[in-house]
Amino acid sequence: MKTIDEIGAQGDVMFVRVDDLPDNVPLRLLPGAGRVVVAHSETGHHHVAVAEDVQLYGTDDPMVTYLVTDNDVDVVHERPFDTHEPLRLVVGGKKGRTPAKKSKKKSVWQVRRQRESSPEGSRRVAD
Amino acid sequence: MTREEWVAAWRAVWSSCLPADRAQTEAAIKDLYRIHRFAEPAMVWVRSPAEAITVSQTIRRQLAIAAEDLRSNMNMGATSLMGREQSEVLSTVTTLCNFDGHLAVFDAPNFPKDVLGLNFHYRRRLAGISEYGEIAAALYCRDELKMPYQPGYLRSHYRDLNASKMLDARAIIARQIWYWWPFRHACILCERPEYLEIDEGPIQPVEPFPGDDRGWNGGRLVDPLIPRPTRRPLRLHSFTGPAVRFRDGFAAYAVRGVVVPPAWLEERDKLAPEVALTWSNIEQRRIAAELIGWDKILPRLNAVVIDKNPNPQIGTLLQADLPNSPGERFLQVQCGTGRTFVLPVPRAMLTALAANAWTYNVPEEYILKLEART
Repeated sequence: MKTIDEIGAQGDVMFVRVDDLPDNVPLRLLPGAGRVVVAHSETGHHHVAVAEDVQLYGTDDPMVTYLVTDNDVDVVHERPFDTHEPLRLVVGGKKGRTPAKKSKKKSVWQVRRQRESSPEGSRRVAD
Repeated sequence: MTREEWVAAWRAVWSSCLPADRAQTEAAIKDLYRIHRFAEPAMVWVRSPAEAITVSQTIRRQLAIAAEDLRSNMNMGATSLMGREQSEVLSTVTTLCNFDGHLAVFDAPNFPKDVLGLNFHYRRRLAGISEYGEIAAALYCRDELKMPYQPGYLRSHYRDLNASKMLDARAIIARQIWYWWPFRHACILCERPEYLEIDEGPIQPVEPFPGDDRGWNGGRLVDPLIPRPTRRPLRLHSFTGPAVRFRDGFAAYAVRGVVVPPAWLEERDKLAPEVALTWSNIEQRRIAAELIGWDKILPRLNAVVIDKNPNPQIGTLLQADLPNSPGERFLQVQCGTGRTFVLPVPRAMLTALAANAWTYNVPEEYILKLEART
């Protein structure tokens, strides 16, 4: 388990701490309670965020979503082999390392999928 | 039973190619249905997941026709003639036709979702399957399905008697067969393969074994003297032919757990070098590179290094001539698991760092600030 304060990557997914949800982008709450799939894999080997209160918001850009939580979030890769080590996205970050549940402000993580060039322009990396 | 003994026992189950004990399996299935207060289902045995799909699609078509007949009758004013039984049939038919929806009876709200989750997921995938790769991908993930059957863990989570009985039944089923698909009135049961070739992946740490909380608290290691558990995962693997073959002839080809097109192994010498750079699935692309060998790929495509970053996780920027597309650029990069991948990047990329940042669509400084890349 690697601990991430600001920026980390797990395979083809990058997590970047941001101050807040964007207010100029339409957001929609994606399904999942306590366990949300942040990156779907064609072969079922998803990257999954696990935390009691974690919420995932989709945007118009399929390559970008947002994780919102009051607590540390563990991101696990659901594959029995060649598994990417779990990441723990820490709620307070370097600035505070605020103990979970004492932080009054939610942590917001921008989740970015990896892309590659294609004849059409670019496409999401598929695994 | 120690963790190691438990893992070894389930690995033996996973590797088994023996025919199922059908009587024992069917008894366990009936137990499950009884616990959920459903009538005993008809048992439909199939020889492979592919056959299961054919059977389920046949059932689906028949049910769709039956549903349409019922609807027609209703439209013709037969509604009043339809008794309770017919009404229930219509309801069932409608439900079953919605194959990707609420098909499985065990998706009832009281069923332990985290045990079912993966099984349900792959059942859904199999339901809509169209390519060999997805079928086989589901097959080798069976290893994942086995993990939750550790009795101590499950009993600690599901203390009521029915849950315990349910888990016992599921463990019996898991020991005997491959996949199974429970429907309200029928259960499709898939025999194990007749041939299976596997290898062990590299040692990797795993999270604390469920139920074994010595030194652990809520998934966090609190006693550093307790060694972190590791394992060597099993993977479908064969360089020479199918890694798994069922009794009806259905087979899947896989290299180190990654399903590949059969031709890649059957006619390996015809595998074109550009496949290793451009194949749409990145995992399969990596395997293509392994099958061909980088020492052959790069010279045959006139590949040259544009920029090499000292950090292999940032990578090496290559330029190569693909057929009909000379001068394409690629980022050869190592991921957190130590494997090497190649990603096509725009021709405008001048450095490996810029190319790496482009793949995540972030500024280059983000790549340099990465605290961990696993």
